[in-house]
Amino acid sequence: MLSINCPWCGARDETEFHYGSQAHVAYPENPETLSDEAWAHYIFFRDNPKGWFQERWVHTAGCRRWFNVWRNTVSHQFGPSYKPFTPAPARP
Amino acid sequence: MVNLSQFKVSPLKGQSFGNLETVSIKEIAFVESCDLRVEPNSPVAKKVEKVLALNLPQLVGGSAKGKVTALTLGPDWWLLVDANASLVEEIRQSTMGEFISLVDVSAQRTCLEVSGEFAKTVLQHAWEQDLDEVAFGINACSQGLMARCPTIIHRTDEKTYRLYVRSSFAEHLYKFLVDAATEYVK
Amino acid sequence: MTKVNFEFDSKMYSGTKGEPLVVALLKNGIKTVTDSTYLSRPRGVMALGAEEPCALVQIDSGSGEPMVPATQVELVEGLAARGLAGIGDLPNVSDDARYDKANRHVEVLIIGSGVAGLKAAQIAVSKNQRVMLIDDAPRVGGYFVAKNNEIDPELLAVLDSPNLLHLQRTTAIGLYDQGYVVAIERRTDHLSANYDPKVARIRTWHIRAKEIILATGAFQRFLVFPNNDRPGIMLSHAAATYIDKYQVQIFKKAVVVTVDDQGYEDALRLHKNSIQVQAIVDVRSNAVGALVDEVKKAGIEIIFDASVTNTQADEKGELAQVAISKVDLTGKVLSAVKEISCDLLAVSGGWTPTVHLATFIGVKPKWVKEKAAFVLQDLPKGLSAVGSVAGDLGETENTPASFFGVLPEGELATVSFIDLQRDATVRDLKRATGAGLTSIEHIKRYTTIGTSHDQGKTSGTTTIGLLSQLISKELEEIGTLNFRPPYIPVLFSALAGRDRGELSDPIRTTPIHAWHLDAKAPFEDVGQWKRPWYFPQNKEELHQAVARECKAAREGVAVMDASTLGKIDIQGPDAAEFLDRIYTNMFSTLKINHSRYGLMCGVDGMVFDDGVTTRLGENHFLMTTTTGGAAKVLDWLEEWLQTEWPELKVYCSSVTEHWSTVAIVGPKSRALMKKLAPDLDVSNENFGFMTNQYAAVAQVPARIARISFSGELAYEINVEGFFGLHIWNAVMDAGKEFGITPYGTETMHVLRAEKGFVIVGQETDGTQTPQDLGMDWIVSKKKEFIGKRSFIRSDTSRDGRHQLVGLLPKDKLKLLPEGSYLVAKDSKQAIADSNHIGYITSSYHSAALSQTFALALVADGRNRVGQNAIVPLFDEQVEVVITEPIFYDKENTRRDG
Repeated sequence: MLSINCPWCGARDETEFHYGSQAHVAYPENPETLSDEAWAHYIFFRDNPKGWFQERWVHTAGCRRWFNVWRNTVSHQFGPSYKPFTPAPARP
Repeated sequence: MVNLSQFKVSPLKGQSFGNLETVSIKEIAFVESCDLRVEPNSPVAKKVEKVLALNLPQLVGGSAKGKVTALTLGPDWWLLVDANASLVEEIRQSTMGEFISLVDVSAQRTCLEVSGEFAKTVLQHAWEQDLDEVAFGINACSQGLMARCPTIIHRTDEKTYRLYVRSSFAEHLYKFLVDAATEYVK
Repeated sequence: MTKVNFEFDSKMYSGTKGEPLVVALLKNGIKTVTDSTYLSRPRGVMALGAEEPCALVQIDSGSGEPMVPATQVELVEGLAARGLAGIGDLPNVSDDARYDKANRHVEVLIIGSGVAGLKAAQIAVSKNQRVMLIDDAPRVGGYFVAKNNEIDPELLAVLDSPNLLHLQRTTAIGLYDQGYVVAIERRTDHLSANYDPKVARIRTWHIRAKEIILATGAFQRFLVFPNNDRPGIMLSHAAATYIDKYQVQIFKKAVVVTVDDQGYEDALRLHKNSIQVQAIVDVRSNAVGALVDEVKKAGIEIIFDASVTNTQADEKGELAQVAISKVDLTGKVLSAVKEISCDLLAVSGGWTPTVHLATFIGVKPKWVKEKAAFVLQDLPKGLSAVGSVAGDLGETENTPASFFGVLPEGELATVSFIDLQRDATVRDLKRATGAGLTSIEHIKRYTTIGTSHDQGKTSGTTTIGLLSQLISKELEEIGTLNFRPPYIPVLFSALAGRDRGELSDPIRTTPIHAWHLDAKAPFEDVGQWKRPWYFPQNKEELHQAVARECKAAREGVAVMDASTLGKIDIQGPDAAEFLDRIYTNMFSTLKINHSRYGLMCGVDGMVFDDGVTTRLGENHFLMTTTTGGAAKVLDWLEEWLQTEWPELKVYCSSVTEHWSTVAIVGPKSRALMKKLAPDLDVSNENFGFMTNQYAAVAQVPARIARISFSGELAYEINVEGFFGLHIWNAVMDAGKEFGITPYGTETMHVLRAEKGFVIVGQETDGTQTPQDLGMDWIVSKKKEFIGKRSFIRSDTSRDGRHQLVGLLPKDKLKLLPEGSYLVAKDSKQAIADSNHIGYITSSYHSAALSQTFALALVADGRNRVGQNAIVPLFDEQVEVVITEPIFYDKENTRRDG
């Protein structure tokens, strides 16, 4: 049972959240100008590193806010959580 | 003028269990409440505070009491408890044309009051967040899942808690808490 | 010291309340508890605690429980148990005892209340923080108390601290990330053989601790040699404790075999209790010091450079004699020494720190040669260890030897046991290494060593040690096995707590539920909701009830509880723009008090959810979603608003339960609506399709929407949830003269399917575009919206995609199972296709059509309309004709009544 730090509510059990995959993957500005390959890359491709990863979570059962966080995919340690559109903290 | 109360049925039909000496669980039916969304610290928010005679707490988990009890559920989200229709209309009038949302959610949830010597102990069988004094003092509130039911908890007194649970889940939460209270109630 | 009666293997015995079952058995002269799992060899108790590998029992009294080590059972009046040869019986009666969960947050959790744990608790409570102390034994004290010592009262006083939560009989079964520990507390089995219906028999604690201190101690391991498994062979500290502390007096003559000074300590405890200790067999070359002197003074012979290398049994299969030989530390037997008759062999094979909990989160213990033990190292922040688990195994005069036993050849290898639960032997280990395996994880699975209920607690290190000999690799290179939670076997009931039966998952109900219950309607599960499935009258079957309900909806008036639909209040100056981006069709053009059906897609262009959205004001909309999609859609809306379009001024609020919705449906619904809302002009001119009116319905303020999911004239009456039941009752009352007929989800499905209306989640599974469903009309060409780019992807726009069609079976009464596949009728074509051409998504009897029909997704379906196909079922081939996906009122003439 992971404990995840919501920037507004503090540390909560993972059952209060939904996972949002990789952070900082912006919706393309002009989808109609992208090739099929580039568009498919946006829909289907996400990084999958062994180690520190920037990802998104939404606090569904609580404040319903989305936020980003560094998580180590091997050790399950968490780095700092940060709000959308705020500068990302350094990799832990 | 028709008295509409005669037509109202609450999700738990006013059920109650236990006693104050050990633990009491009872429905407080027909609580009027309103979902408030407004940008914190903005001029609009100040107008709301003026009508409600309170300061909207900034931090999630805070509460304030004025003409209503305001529970902070998110950075720009408050549940106004005991907010009757005319008060909400007053806020609406004073913020006309501004970016604000006031949504009547009275029937969205029902209220369970859990109180007594074992109130906290019973709740700790159903609630995964920290309820000890150091983490959850009097007037604190929090939103989460209690026995898998979307619930807001507000500690109103040393041994009294108000739970606002989504109406469709109310029967399940009530049964769960009554079952948890079985070992403690005398 | 209460005397109690208990039953074992169908015989009655007596013992002392609270003593371990193994002790009561021994005192009654029972050395053999059970037979081994696979080889049926007699086995007795080996160890002291949860690590016990052999003495398993099945409890028959109380709730019943299989596979319990008899070391962990406390004697109570009426206890009934039997020896269990490794494979337990699941009781065939329901476990009705009470179980629950409790949650706690603490600053410090200490696992283990031996002296090291108590000392850690003493320090922790003094810092004015929340401390929790748990231990699996009935009383504090661990190893120290087992040696018959008394704990310093000043240390015991810590147990009275107000900031300490202290639990005994509580085993930590799992340790997880961010300081999460799950522990099982056994609360009543030691009080009574029968459970108390009001008191939880087992409480599962879910603990979140900022700091965890492991004080879990250590247990001994045994040695491997031929016939090392007989009743009467025990780990030395266990033997000494049973005899010295519990006063078991059935043994007369003992031999002690040891790799360390512990053997000497235990030999003296046996000797003190009048056991004739005939020899200490020490694998080391020498030992000196006070303990050794005392042993010599007691007249006990010491044989160095030797081990026990075989044993003999009496007629009961219990220990009668041991054979001693000179050995070297690699396990090679050098020369025979002598044989000694004895009924007790106390084995001190070395101490194994109880490291499991730390290994659950990936800590790798390290082999420390001087201690002959795997100890914890590199503990992560928030986790620390004290006492023997930390490698503090006490000051001994002489270092322990890294000796694990002998590795015989031939027949003798088949009775040299490594895993007593699995009857896995030296022969099995040699076969594994002989087959070329060198990884301990592979060997574990190849031999099954370490896979039983004890998870190799007493055999794990021994296995690694013997493997080290066999493949000439150092122990630290081989490393330990991966241990996994739970630390001990756990009842499913304990893990479930009170989340079982009626409480296993929330059941969601509408304000009208009580009426449905009274009507004895069977329910359909829609997510967590209970929705009435149909309303049988006079013992009707499903299809009879549905035929009657459909007829009422198409020819008279019927009523349905539609309260479960998700409802989201959306407001703000950018609300209309927002909806234009979310839905495939336009919403900014929607007039106030008008409603429009909307479809939303994911970025991949696949249908995601649908529903009718109503414009309540210039900047105010009420969106409905599918019943099951409400939470998902709200998350979706918030995701876009918060992470992509924060500049949009829009607020969303969930109001699913604030509103209750009662739908009246059918040609007579207008008349009924008039009766319910006398002041409302219900004419079609005033109250058009997909518009809303506000009126008092049965005296209660309501918003009425002319929305139809059936194609009939229909009104959806929306009131505040508290009035839901009142409105329903008013409809039933006022509707009597019109033959008002309540209907459930089955009829709702049939009515909409006859009209070809899709249900998201039924006709879709996340891989259908609006175009696949024949809904090109809802895809706006004028605006950008989520998913639009994906419609022109090559895979999305290719020919041959599955498209929505209708099916009519040739046999008009044949109800095709939903999910059935279709193949082309021409068998050559079917083979050429080498695959199905589609599948059935919805299938019903239709009263209106007087036959069965179905909706299906078929490859290139729209070009196949008119063709025949086959639905191959288990025992028949059903012929169908492919049609347009609409069967009733194709011109939509019934909509306005």
